[in-house]
Amino acid sequence: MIPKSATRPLVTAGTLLGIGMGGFVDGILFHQILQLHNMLSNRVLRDTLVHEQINMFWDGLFHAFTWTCVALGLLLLWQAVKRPGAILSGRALSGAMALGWGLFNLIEGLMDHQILQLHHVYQNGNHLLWDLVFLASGPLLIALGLLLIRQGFTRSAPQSRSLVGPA
Amino acid sequence: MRLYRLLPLLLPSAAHACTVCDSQTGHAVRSGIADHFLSTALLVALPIPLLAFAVLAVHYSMPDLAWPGPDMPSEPQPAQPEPAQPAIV
Repeated sequence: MIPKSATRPLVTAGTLLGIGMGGFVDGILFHQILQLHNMLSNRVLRDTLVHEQINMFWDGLFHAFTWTCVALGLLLLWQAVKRPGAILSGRALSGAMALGWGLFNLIEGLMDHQILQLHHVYQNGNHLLWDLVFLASGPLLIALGLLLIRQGFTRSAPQSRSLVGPA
Repeated sequence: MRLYRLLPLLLPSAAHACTVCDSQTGHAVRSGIADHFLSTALLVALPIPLLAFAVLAVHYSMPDLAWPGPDMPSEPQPAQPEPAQPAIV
């Protein structure tokens, strides 16, 4: 029997959306509203207008990346919902987005904060605690996302039909 | 409203600066961006392939749970008997 519905495209689309929107949370909340750090604020200190604007340029490239992730995620989501018999679980989609957000926090936190030291979450003070909290949010969001994905697809499964998979 | 009062907003100020502005600060911003541009861009972009790899890993490691759609029977249906052909006399 050929399975007609699949869960994978929705998860992939949600993961990309989560990466993009998680990046926007970082950029909008930490870079712009709270102004705790900028993209290169550990290398180009924000002590003059020129340095601030150089950081703003790299922030812009970062936002271009997050925008691209959201656009790709929307494209994949559109393709996923158009599939015949698509399983449209809002809980699973939310879980996939949490998964993507967690992946973003984990990888960005490890690379940019710890390894490359491009910036820290709180640039002006004791940054270690802030960096660790940010980093820890990654695995937590990933675990939450996986749980929601599992719950979402389990609840959406027709009770009278058995699951087919993994593929 | 007298629109001419807005004209000073269009004029360059002492702190007039942007990445394409023809001003002293604008030149400083451009040269600051251009300094070590490639190496900085490489550093900034390093998480991108890791994130792409993570998305691919999610895509291919996530079990693709699937079940028949509503118009597909989940169990084999008994064969329907052929309608009886009228006997030709």
